[in-house]
Amino acid sequence: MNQIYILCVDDEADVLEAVERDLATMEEVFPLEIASSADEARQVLERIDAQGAELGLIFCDHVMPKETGGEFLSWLDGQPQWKRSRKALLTGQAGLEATVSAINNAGLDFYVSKPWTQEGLLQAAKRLLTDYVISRNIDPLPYMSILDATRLAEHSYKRGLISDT
Amino acid sequence: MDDSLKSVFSESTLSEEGMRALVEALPQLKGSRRRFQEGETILREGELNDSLIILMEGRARLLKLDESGCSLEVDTFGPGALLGLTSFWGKTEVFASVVADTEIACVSIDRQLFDSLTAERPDFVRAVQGLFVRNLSDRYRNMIRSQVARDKLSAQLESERNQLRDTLKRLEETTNRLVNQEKLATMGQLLAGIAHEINNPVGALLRGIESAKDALEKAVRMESEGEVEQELIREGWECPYWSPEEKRTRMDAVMVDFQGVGRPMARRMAQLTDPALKLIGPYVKRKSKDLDRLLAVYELGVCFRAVRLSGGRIGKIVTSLRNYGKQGGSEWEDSDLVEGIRDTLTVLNNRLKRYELSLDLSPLPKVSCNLGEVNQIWTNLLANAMDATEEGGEICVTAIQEGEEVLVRIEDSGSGIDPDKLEKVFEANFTTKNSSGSFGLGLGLSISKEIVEKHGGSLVASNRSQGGACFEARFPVVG
Repeated sequence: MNQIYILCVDDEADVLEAVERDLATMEEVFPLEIASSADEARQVLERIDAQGAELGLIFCDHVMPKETGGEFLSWLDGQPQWKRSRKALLTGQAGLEATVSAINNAGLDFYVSKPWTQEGLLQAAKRLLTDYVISRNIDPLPYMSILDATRLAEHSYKRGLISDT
Repeated sequence: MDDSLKSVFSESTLSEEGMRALVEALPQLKGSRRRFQEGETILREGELNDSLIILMEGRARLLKLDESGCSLEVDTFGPGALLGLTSFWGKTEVFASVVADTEIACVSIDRQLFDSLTAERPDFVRAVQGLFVRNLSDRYRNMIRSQVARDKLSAQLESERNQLRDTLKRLEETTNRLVNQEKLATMGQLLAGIAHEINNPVGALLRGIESAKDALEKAVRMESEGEVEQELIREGWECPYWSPEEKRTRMDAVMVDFQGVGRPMARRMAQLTDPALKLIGPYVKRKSKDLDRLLAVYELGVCFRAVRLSGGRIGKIVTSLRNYGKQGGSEWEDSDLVEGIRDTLTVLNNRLKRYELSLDLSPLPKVSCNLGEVNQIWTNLLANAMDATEEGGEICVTAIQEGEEVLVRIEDSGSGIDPDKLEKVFEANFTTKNSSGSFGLGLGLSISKEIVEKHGGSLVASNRSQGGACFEARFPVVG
């Protein structure tokens, strides 16, 4: 089974720690990585790539020094190996303009506004990772317990991966 | 007889005695006396006129209609004036109306009487001809005089108009300044109000979390021996924010040191401080059922510390906002400029964090100033620096003492200033920014310079040799 990572990027240490804590329960199945800038996120991605692992989902802060989350996600969307990774913007500030631009240019799949709740964050993570597993045609069995089992099962049924006989 | 009329017509108008003499000398005129009431029209513009009128008593006005049909007063006449001269002589339409300004007595010589007078009295003809010529040449002179006066008036008007334009421009500047000042004052009040509103719950939050931590320590101590738990809470309470890199290193170390530990557990253990890890380590090794509980106790401490630090951060931001919002106030105090600079940096942090910011803020002697106003200078200079510099560019803020002065230098690696405009940038309404920005009134630098000078200092712009602009503000140190 291929490792599917979740990556969280935020330049504020307290926010990053809180997001990490909220998503920790996912790590039973999806290894978690964290980074405090777009540059560090690239290094982490290189390592993930080198392991032959995948990036299933990224939560990225928008307002960061040097490179905004929007810009970074846009770059990510242009990389063939990360194009299909689910991308979520997590931000306390981005105005409508930044959001629209992120959706149009960064292949943004989801938008979480700060302050967030753990429940909201986990729901978003589950939905987006379910999308990822389905779109990549990955064997869904290992993820049934933690993701949206109904959707995964439906998909597998259609694909003939599971038979009811 | 000849002589008497000569004296009568010696001027271009008739004197009072002249008039009396004229009427006496020419008995034919007795029947030509007429009176007009105040406001009555004696000659009407555009109509034909068949008499020559000599004003005897009272005053008349010469009125000319303008293009829009309003009548303008052109001249006034007193006793002795000749009215209707050109229209009578030239048999043309009356050029301008004559209206009685008071009750009027006059002699109206119609054409028939005039012709008979000219036929019977050659001396009348000569006298009248002389009078007409003088009257006409007077009119001609007057026309030239009024032309000269008009030109002078135009020039005066032009200069007054220019003055008015300058005044209007200054008024606009002043209005903008006042509006700006008013905005800042309103913002200051708002910020102070909001700061107060936020500070209360933040204060309660910070107190609450301290008490919660103390209460928790007591609670775990009462339950059992609880020494380990107590220690773990204290460690969690002081736990630093690990950087992602530190976190990875610590996770890797845990996974090496404790075989068989998976990522979720390794992540929890990577959060532990070294003393906490020493306490927990044995429980991991013997796979104690207490492990999860002890980690949770530590994490409680970590969460409390997150609340404490984040609450403290809110408190600091609020304090900066409140200090920054003192703008518009009028208190002068001996102040530390560096504090004001730090407050401004906090307020602008959201934008500034997209630049390579380098700070060199040494402790400074106090400066007597209105800190709120001075903060406005840093805001303007920093906002300009950011506007002129690509994101990711360099912005340097230096504050040092130089002799009896405090020097604050704000530099950027942006496009710099056109060398011809190094002085001009401080002029009001000078701006290179288009209207897309929220500011761009072109007042920032002129207001900044004014504020620095009000404090007995100076503000100078220059270009750095390596590119970008440099602004230096100097303030005298409190003596």
